[in-house]
Amino acid sequence: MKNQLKVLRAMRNWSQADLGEQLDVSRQAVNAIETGKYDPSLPLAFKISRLFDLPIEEIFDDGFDGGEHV
Amino acid sequence: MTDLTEGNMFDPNEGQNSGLRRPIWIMLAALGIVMISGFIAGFSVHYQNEGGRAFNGIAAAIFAAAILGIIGLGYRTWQNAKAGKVSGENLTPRERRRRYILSGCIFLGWIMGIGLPIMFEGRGSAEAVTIFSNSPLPTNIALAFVFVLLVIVPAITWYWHRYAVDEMEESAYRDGGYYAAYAFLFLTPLWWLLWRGGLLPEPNGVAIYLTFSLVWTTVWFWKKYL
Repeated sequence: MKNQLKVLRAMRNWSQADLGEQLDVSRQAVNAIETGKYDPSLPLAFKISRLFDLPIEEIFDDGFDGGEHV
Repeated sequence: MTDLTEGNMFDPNEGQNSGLRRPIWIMLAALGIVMISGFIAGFSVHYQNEGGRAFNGIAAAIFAAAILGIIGLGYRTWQNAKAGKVSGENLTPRERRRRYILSGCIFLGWIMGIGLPIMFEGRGSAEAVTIFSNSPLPTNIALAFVFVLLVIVPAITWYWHRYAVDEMEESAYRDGGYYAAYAFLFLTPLWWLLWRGGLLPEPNGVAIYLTFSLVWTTVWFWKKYL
């Protein structure tokens, strides 16, 4: 899943370790989420959302274009 | 927060797998040190049992090579650990706990690798403590293994999953478990049938166990690091 995590982190001048520490995950997890290799669980997505004070859908993009709901 | 500049904004392991080489090297070197230490202990006990009579030049050269191997691997491990600190490779609390647990396990393995051949001295063949052996074990040594597997390993595993592993790694473990379970389900009856057909030797429990572990570990590594 595409996301803005890397941009948001860079805007705050945080390293992956800094972000990992705040989210209580490893640097590998931060890296995997940023590169779209791993989709975070809902609790972690909420944690990220609260940390950056942004709605989940502004951080993560599931590719849904607003068309017909499945 | 880390003081970041344009040049060091991202961690050494960011993007591709550039940060992988160092931990892999440290893990392999630690494993090598444990194995060589066990070899040296077994080797020493063997020659001690023979009263040192057969300790000739070749044996001395093998012994020296093993000692040099340990020194070399230790030096490279130390260099890698130092390089990690210099490059500002910060660890998150979970990673730090992970590293402590791994170091503790490696130390425990090292103690066991050295201790077992010494404990086994004069109590049968040292081959009995090797992983593929089916030879009888002294009851107290068998019970010591059972204690380790029944009490120490589960306790470390619980702590590992509770405090060192994050959800991404848990997911990697789950994926590894699926692949390993399917490998077990398909390969075990396959081997059994091929044995009955006279094409393979009798199925070996340890080989199946190791295959299961290898598949699990390989998938875990792929999902976590690659």
